[in-house]
Amino acid sequence: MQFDSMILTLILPVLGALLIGTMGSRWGRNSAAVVASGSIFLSFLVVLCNLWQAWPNPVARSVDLWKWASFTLDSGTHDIYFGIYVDALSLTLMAVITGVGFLIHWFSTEYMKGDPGYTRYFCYLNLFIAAMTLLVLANNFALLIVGWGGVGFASFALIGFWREKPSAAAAAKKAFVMNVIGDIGLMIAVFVLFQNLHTLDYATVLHDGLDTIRLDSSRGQWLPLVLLGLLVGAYAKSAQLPLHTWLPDAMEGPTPVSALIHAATMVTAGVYLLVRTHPLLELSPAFLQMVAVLGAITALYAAYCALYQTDLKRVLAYSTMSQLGYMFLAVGVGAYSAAIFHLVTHAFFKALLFLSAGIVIHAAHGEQDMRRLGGLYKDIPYTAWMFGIGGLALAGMFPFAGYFSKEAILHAAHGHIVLYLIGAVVALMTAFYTGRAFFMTFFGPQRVESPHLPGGPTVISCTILTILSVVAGFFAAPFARFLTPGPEAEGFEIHTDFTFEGIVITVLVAASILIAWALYGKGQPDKFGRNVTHNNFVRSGLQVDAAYLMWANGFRDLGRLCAKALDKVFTTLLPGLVGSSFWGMGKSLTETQTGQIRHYMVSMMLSVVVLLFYALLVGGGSLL
Amino acid sequence: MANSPELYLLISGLVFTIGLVGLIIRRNPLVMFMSIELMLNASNLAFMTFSRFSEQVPGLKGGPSDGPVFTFVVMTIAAAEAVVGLAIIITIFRTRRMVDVDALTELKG
Amino acid sequence: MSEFLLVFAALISVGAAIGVISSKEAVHSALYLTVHLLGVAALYLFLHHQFLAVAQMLVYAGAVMVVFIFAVTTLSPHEEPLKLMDQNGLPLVGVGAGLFAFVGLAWTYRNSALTNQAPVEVSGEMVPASQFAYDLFGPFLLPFEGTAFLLLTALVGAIILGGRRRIGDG
Repeated sequence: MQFDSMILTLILPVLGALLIGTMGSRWGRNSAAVVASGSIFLSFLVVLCNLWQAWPNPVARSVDLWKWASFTLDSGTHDIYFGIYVDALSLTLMAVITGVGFLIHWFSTEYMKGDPGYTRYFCYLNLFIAAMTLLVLANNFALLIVGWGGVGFASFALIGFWREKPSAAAAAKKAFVMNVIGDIGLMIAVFVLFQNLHTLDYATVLHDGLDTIRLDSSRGQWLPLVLLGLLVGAYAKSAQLPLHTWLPDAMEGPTPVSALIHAATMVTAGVYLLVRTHPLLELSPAFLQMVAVLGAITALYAAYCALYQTDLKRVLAYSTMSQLGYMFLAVGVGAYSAAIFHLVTHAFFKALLFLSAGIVIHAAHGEQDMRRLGGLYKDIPYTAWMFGIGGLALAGMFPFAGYFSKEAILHAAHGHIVLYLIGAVVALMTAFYTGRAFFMTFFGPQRVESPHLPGGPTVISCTILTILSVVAGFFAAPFARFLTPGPEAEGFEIHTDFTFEGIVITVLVAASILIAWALYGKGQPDKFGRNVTHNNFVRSGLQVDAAYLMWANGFRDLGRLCAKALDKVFTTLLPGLVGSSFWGMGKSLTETQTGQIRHYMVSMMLSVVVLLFYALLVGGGSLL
Repeated sequence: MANSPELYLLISGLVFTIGLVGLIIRRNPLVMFMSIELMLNASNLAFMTFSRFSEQVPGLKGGPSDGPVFTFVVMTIAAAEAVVGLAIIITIFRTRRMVDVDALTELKG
Repeated sequence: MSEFLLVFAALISVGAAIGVISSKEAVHSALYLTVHLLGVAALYLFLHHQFLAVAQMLVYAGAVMVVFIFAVTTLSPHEEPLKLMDQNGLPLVGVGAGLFAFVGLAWTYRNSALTNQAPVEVSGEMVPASQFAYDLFGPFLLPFEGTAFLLLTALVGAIILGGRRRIGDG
C-alpha cells in the first residue's frame, strides 16, 4: 500500500469521529471540541503542504491504496481500487473543505456551547468532513458513490440534530429522501458506465478511455443514460430544480451546519461532479446546453423566492440555490474554472453570511424572523460590518470576491444572450434581497431585547472569512492557471478584465442596494413579507414542495388503500375461499357415508358391474 | 343338453343375479345372508361346469380336478362364514325389536 | 328322460332361488333355500360328481341350513312389505344392477373359451370319490390344509362370539 500524505486528510477526520463517538461522553465536551477541530486543522495543514508543493503547476496523481473489489466477467477480470486522486481540482476543494470546515468547527465550539448534544454534534461534523473528503479525493466512481452517500447521511444526521423537534426530523427525512433519488441516478450512471467500459477509474474513463468512447458507435444508447444519471445526482445534491425543495427546510439544523453543508461544501458536490466528469459531458453538447439552461432557470427561480422570504436563514438558503445555479450555468457554457472559482468565493462569503446570521440569531435569543429583528447595528456593530461585507461580496460589488467570480461567469455566458440576461437580472435581484435582509436585520427600530453578545471564537472565525471574502477575488488569474489541467485544455480561463457590460451591471447592483436601503433602512414595513396569497405562494417556493407532497401522499394513500383492501382479500377472502371450498367438498363427501349397509353394497355391486363391462368392452374379453 | 355347458351356466348366472338382487332389496339380515349363499352356490356350479367341460386330462375322469376341489373349499368357507356371520347377526339384533339392517346407522357420517 | 330330469332340477333351483328372495317370512326363505341347495346337488350329479353332490346335501342343506333355521327362529323378525321405491329407489337400483350383472355374465360366458370350442367327448362315468381323495391329498394338499385352518379360526370366533354372555355383554 503506497503512502500519500493526502491519506491523512481522510484518516484524521475519521479518527476524530471515532474517538468522539466512543470516548466523547467520557472525555468531556471540551475534549470533543478540541479533537474535532484539531483533526480538521491538521488535515488543513496537510492540504496546505500539498498545495505548496503543487503550486503553480500541479501534476495530477492517482494513487491506488488497496484493491477493494474484483469482478470476473466474460470480458475479463476487473478490479476496483480504494484510491485517491490528487489534482488541482481536488486540492482546491480540499482546501475549502478543510479550511472553511475548520473555521466552522471553531465557530461551533462557542456557538453550540449550551447544547446537550455537543459531543454528538462534533462527531457528526467530523464524519461529514470525512465523507466529503472521500467524495472529493476518490479516484474512481465507486468510491465516489461511497462518499456521496456518506455526506447524504451526515446531512441527515445534522439537519435532524435536534431530534425531538418534529420539524427538524421531517426536514432531515425530506433531505435524505431527495438525496437518495440523486444517489440512484448516480448509481445508474455508474452501473451503465461500468457495463460499457468495464472500469470506473477516473484516469481511464476521463482521459485515456475517451477515444474509446468517441469511436464507440453504440454510445448513443448508453451515454445519455450515464449523463442523465450524473445530472440527477448533481441536481439532488446541489438542490437545483427540480430536486431542490429540501434545501430551505434544511435550515432546521444548527446554523453552523447550514454554513458548512448547505453553503460551502456538500451542495457544491454537484458542481464538483460535473467539473470532474466534464470530458464526458463534452461528448454531448445537448446535455451541456441543458445544464446551462437549468442552471439559469434555477438561479432566477431561487432569487425570486428569496425576495419574499421572512426567515433570515431561508433568504440565505435560496440565495445558495441561486448561486449554485450560477455555477451550473458556468459549467454548461464550458467555463469550468469560473465555476470552481465561484464555488470557492461563494464558500467564503456564504459561510460568512451564515455564521454572522448565527451570531444575530444567538443575539436575538433564537429569533429568525426578520420582521421581528432590527436595530442590531447598535448592539453588534462588528457583526453588522462582517455581514455587510459578506452581503456585498454576494451581491457582486467591486472589489469584493463575489464581483470577480460573478463577472467571470457572466463573461463566459457572453455568447448566449438569453442566459447572459438572466444572469444579469439575477445579479440585480441578489443585490436587492441581500440588501433587504441586511437592512431589516440591523437597522430600523430595535425589536430585540437585551441581545446576547458573541464571544471570541465566533467573531474571529468570521473575521477570517471576511478577510477572505475581500481578497480572494484578486487571485483569479493565478487560480485559473492552477486549475488548468493541460496546455490545450479549454474552458479553464477566468476573464476578469473590465468590460462595458460589467461596469453597467456593477452600477445597477449598487443602485439595487441603494433602493433596498431606501425601502428598509429605517425599518419600514416589509411589503414582501405580508401575508397575502401571492406572497405566500412565492415564499413557499412556488408551491413545488406542496406538489411533491401531494404526489407522495398519493402514494401513501394508495398504499393504505391497498393495505386495507388487499389485506382483506388475501388474509380473509382467499383463505376463506380455499378453506370453505375444501370444507364443502369434504362435507359433500361425508354424505356418502350413510352408515347403511345396503347403500354400500349397491356401490360395491355397481363397481363390479362397471369393471366387468369395462373388461368386456375395452379389453375385448382378453382381460378375463 | 346335458352334454353342453350352456344350461348349467345359464342357471349359474340366473341364480347369481337373483342372489344379487335379493341382497339389495331385502332388509332382513338373515335373508340377505341367504342371498349370499345363493351367490356362492351359483359360483360353485360355474366352477363345476367349467371343470367338467374342459379339455379332458388323461388319467382323470370328468375333466381337471380344479373345479371340484375349489368347490369343496368354497363350501367349507361358506359353512364357516355362515356360522360366524350368523353369530354376529344374532349378537347385534338380539336386543333390538326390529330386525332391519336399515336401523344400523351408528357408522353414519 | 335324463334331459327331462335335468330341466326339472334346473327349474327347481331357479324357482326356489326366486322364492328365497321374495318370501315375506324369513322361515319360508330358509326352507326355499334348502330346496335350492338340493336342486344344486342334483345338478352336481348331472355333472358326474357324486362326492360333491353328497357333500352338498350333507354340509350345505344339512349343517348350514340348520344354523340358518336356528338363527331365524332365535330372532323374531318383522318384515315390512317390499317397496320398490323406498330408500331413494334403492331396490330399483338393485334390480337394475342385477340385470346388468346378468347381461355381463352372459356375455362373459359367451366369450369364454369353453363355449366356443368343439364339444368335448365326455365319458358317462361318475367321478369316483377315490379320485377326488387323491386330488385333495395330492396336488391340492395346500388348499385343503388352508381350509382346515380356516375352520379352526371360524370355530374359535364362533365360540368367542357366542360365549360372552357371562361377562354381561350382548
